[in-house]
Amino acid sequence: MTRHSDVFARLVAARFLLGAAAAGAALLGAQAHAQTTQAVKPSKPAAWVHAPSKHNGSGVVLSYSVPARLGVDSASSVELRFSGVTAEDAQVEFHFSDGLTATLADGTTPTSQALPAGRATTISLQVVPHSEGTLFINVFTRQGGRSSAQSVPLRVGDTQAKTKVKPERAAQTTPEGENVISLPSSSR
Amino acid sequence: MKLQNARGAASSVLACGLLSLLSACGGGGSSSPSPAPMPGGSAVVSGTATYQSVPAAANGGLNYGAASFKPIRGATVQLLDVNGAVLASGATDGLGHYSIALPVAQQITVRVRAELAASPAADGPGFNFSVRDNTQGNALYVLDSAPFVATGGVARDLQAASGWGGSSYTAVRAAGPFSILDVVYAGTQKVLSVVPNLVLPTLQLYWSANNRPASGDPTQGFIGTSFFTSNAGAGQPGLFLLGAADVDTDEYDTHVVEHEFGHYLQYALSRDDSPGGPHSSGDKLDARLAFSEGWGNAWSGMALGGPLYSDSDGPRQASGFVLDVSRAPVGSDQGAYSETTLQYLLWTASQDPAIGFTPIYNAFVALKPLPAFTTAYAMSRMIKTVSPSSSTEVDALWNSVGVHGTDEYGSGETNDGGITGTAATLPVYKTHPGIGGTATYCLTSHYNVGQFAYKLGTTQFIRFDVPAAGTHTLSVTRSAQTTDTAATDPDFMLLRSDGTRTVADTNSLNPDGSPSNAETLASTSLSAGTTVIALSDFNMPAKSTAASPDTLRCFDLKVN
Repeated sequence: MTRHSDVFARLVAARFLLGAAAAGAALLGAQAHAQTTQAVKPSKPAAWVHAPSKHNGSGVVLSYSVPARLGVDSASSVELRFSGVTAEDAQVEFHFSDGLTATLADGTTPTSQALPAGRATTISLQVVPHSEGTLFINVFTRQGGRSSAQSVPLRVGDTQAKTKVKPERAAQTTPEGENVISLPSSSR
Repeated sequence: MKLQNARGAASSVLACGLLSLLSACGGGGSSSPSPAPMPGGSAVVSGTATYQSVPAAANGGLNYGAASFKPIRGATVQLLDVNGAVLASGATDGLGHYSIALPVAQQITVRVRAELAASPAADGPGFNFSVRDNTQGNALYVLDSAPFVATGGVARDLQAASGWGGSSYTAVRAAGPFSILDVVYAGTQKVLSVVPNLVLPTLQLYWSANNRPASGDPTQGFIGTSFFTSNAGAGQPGLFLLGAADVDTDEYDTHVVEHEFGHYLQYALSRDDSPGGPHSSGDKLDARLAFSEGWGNAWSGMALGGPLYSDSDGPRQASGFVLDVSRAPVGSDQGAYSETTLQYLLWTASQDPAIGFTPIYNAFVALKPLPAFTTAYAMSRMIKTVSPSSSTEVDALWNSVGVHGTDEYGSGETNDGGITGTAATLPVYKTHPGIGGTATYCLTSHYNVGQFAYKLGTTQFIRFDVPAAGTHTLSVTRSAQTTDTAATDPDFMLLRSDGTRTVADTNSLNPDGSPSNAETLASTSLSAGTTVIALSDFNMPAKSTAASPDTLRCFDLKVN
């Protein structure tokens, strides 16, 4: 069976899944967190996933471990691990979807922090989603004058129901049977 | 004026539009023409189609304050009746102008499709590029005018606006697909400048405001990153582009789009032996990956006419970075394993009066049948082959940045990239004993930090001679020299002397599911001449830091 000859296949994260046991060993030092809301037990053990990297990007490697399912208004633990840090100027910045709050172990809201060179850094977050659907932790890393953006998806609520993409403009079918998205001209 | 009905007459006009950057092709002039009314109640509809282009700021972020309208070049234009049926069609020219005859005056809509199309003809090019939404059934983006009554000569300009409202997108992002299309137009023009009647395979480009940098289902916008794939479904190539506002959008990052189009061109015209995977500036890479990515970066500069590659991201797309492909690599970043080296070499060669773009293009195409992997060495060899007069210049340029090989196999290379010993990177190609012979080759995780990637040392290039065409079996098995006990998963890419390629990359499992630590390509045809192999290990472990101990993976290769 051909497994990874195709570029597209190479890019999917499944290729880079790490074993849960190895991940656990790497996280022995992970900090416990004060919980302000009831924690939800993940539906299955969270695997470590390597986030895909953009070409010419920062070179910082992001791996994450998130529960397969999160509950609305319930706190869950999310682990983010950063490796491949070789420069002294490396840093990470976080932005969160509307409807998602997150705190660090000390209770503060994560914004940005430096990433030390020569070793991996694990950042533990307590996240609380306030709506169903797919919410995101948007992670921006910078190193050596380059940058990368990566979204960590958090699936909240019923994961059996496929998340519906909200289109900017709905597709239409022409009399010739072609699907098109009609964009309005702004000219008069 | 001859009537152009529906789609049939479109192709010549479309090709004309693409081939005429400055000349009129049904359009013409610097402002929207107003043709005289046609007799019999017919009409001629003409105008200019433009899109709002957002340039990069000095930091690589988008500068919305400097946005301007640019022509939608070479796009298919249709006149639709009140029911949306196509009445007539044409294309915009190099200035965004169109002019289409309508046999009967009536209420119509002008539609500009995010599509460049030319039907192959005896003396013209052939291609079809379109921008579609992967989150809506791959629907084609189109720009529509408001309905109006077309009678006589009527002018109708169309504008695709960015939708930017000052601090966020507040309206439909209509310009995005046409900005992407214009990058493809520029790239197409560049290759047509060398081969005017070039025929290229169809390519669909997928962009959506929902496309974000997350793994998952592309139909939900989870595309991972912007990328080209040779198989986006049904064996057709596809190019996916990010569009998630305040995270990472690429529709105005023109060099990013052109970089990916460069990968498409390598697929369509040349050969791309890159195994893919993560890479970044300063990495010491598998030389095939370095060439592919260096080509993409350099190509973006060649096609867009400038060496500054910018990529925006972040809230309001205000952050980003800029890299200069004309900047020479320094120190340990010099070598055939460095994409920085490759982008510099290819860009510089294209700008060098003694070399230039045409030999670059011809060498790029000539790589396809070459029985050596697509690397800096192969490219050097082929430039010198297609343009012998530039040999001295090419050798001097390549040598100046640490690439010393004298042929497509890197013979004579002295730059080992810092890996010697059992998994030595030199010679670039190890010589195998030949048919019936067995030899051991070792790989190292030395530069493999953080995650699995195809780095210098994780692959060994091997060559052997096949005296006569025949059927042979190649097998790779784990060697006792391997320094760890974890399961290995050897893979290899086989490149025959005729340039055909086979990848042997099964899961290397025994029937009971246990690791076989082996890979076999049974009864494969080999043509006479030099055959090469790229050997790697899918299970090569990543080091947590650069200082962590290296893992050595060794394999016995046997050719029967």
